[in-house]
Amino acid sequence: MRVLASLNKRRVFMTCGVLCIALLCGQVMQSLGSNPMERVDNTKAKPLPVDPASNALRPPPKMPGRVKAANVVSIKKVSKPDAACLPQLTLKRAPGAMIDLTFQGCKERSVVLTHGAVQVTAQTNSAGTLRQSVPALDQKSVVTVSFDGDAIQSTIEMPDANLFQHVAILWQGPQTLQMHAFEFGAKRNQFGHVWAGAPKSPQRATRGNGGFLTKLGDGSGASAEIYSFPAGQSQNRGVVRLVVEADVTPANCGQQINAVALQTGPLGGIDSTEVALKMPQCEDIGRLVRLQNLFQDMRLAMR
Amino acid sequence: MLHRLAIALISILFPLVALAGPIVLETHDGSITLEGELVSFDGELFRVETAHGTLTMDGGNVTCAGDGCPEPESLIAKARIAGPADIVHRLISPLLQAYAEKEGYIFRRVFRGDDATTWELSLSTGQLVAVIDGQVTDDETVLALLSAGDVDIAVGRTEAKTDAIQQDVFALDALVPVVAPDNPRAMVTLDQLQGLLGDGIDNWSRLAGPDLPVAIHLPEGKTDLLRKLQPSRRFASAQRHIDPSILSDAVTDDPAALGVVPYSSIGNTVPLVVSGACGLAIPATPDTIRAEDYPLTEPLFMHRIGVRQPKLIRNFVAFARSFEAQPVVRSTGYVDQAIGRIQFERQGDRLANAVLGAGDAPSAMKSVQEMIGALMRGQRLTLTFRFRDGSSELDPQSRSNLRRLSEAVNRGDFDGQELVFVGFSDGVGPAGGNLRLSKERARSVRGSVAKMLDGAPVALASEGFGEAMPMACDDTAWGRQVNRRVEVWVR
Repeated sequence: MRVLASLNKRRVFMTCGVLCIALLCGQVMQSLGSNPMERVDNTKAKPLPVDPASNALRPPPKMPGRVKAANVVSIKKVSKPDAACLPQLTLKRAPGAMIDLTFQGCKERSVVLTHGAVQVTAQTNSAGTLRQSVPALDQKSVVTVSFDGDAIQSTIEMPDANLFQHVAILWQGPQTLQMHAFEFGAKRNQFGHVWAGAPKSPQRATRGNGGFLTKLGDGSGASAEIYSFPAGQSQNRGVVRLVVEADVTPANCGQQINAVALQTGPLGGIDSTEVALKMPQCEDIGRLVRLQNLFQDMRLAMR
Repeated sequence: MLHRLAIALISILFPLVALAGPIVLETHDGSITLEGELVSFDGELFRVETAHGTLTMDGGNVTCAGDGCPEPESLIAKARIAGPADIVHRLISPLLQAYAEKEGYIFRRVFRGDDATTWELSLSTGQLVAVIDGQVTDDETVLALLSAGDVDIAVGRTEAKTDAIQQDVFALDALVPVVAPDNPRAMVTLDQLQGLLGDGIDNWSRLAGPDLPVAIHLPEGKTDLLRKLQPSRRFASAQRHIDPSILSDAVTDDPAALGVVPYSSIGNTVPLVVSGACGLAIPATPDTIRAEDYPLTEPLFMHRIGVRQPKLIRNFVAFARSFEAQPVVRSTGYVDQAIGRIQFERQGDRLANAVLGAGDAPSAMKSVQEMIGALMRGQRLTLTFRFRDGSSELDPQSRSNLRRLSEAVNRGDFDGQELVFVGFSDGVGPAGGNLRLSKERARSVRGSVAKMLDGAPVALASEGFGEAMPMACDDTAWGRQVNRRVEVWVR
């Protein structure tokens, strides 16, 4: 709370009620950790009436996954009233339980994007804009963008989020691990093999044909690969095998690779595993390390 | 040199010095606090001089505060668990996580590769309380490692043959013959299966299938069950797989493949239903595996050797085989040991078999009528007692059932009801002898259960109906073993 007190000259404008402020504080304080980059300011916050555009109180649409994008709740926060770039974060609902995120800030800046246990670094473009589609991990999804010692956060209702199961790998720096999903006995490079080279699209999921892969991060810092599968509306039965692969390269041979693996648990929460993998020695350069048991298979029963 | 000696002396003396001093021991759940002078700590047990005399406390689940406490490192419960890849990663890991959640520990899993994982449990204060190393080995090696003292808990599908090893059944599985999804065959007779696995049928065209040579895929190691399939020469040329999910994938990819996989790893393959020569067939389902009506049921064992283990580790083993852990087992794709009930009406197939099997013999028909009269208002439990080949000794799954059933009765699950132990025999030999044998077996199981009860208001009865309700054909050893059983019914 000392961090907050020292920032009392800042102003916050909000388009949602007191509850959102409380939520925002809790979320961001939790993710602050020891990183001095991330701070948030809630002093002198003036709660405004609920944005009439918000549909947070409306019943969820009847056809999850096929809804038209709709803005739900967004928090606009002014970091420095006199700054040239006023930060703004907008979340929109997109098919396949995806959140279309638009962040407007200062140009060509590095920002940290946080959603649930997923945290990645990205870059705004020459117009100060960052656009990114992020799989919704919760029905009430909270997205935070941290930049230049500040943070802006927004929440969106994602009614179809619980139809999906996710697995993710998160890493720092250059990519070593690659996620591969083999759906219902698919062989390599076949229709049901989903990976960075064939990521497929959220539309595939809304049609019940299978999952898709989202890659987050620009490679400068933290990155992630997330495979999302519409377990709630699959037309298949059987298992999706989740394999993580790593090429032995001159850069990583003999080294330990660290990463974090996330997976939707049997009861719906997200389980986290630390990966501490010793790569083979350098005489094995060119070999492929396959990890079969990092993730549990996704098992689908016939609906 | 002298300098080094001095350091060595100090490091030897230091723990002794440290032991003299006041300490406060508190269990992780805060239920017990003990204050006094530490007398000794042997790495496991604290002996503390208190106002009430010298008391002993297990170090496995306490925190120690005060000058007299031993090094924090020595309070961490440590264990090494080893077994097949699927069990270590898919079953032990979620069980440890569920145990940690139940006890309020923070769970951390560090994946070091397909053959090694470390789990850490700590208090909400961050203090580490347990480090468990998981190691992947095949089913046979693991028992050797346990005997050599290189692991503390061995998990696997092979029963230990020595009394020195303590074993608990903590989940169930079964071997299932499977084919690729594009293989048209759905059912084989036992003869055909043995022909496919043996020398007789080497091409699918002999079963009116495509002209493809049969490619056999089997799990690594020779479990008792694989032997039961009567391996022959071609078993030697079969492809062996250590990881059952890789075995399952190999079969999925090859329309010519015939695999034998654990039920928990069927994956995208298609199970073959095996019928006997008399036409009876029992598919592998969680219920038939729990009831051991499916003949290739395989219990999963947790083996330990007589060395005393830290309390936290013992508690985990107790949790893994407990009633509370069964939903976790189920969620991982293995078969749990929860006790289910099957309504009389849902057993039409079995009754039809009984009536058809009775044929024209009036005595047989009379015994079927008696059986229906006795059971028609009851429910069958998914827990059955079966015996080792040609003996009256219970098999491992049934011994686990004995404990499980008595625990459920003592918990009050059957209060005010009657449990009927119903014996059946195979149809080999004279009917009168079979009837007597089935009654004796039922009585003996009833007696074993009765000994383990603590006065719950439950009535126990036993009956026997000989060969009246066969579940499998009597022409094979495994069929006869399925038929020799004591079912448990609730009335």
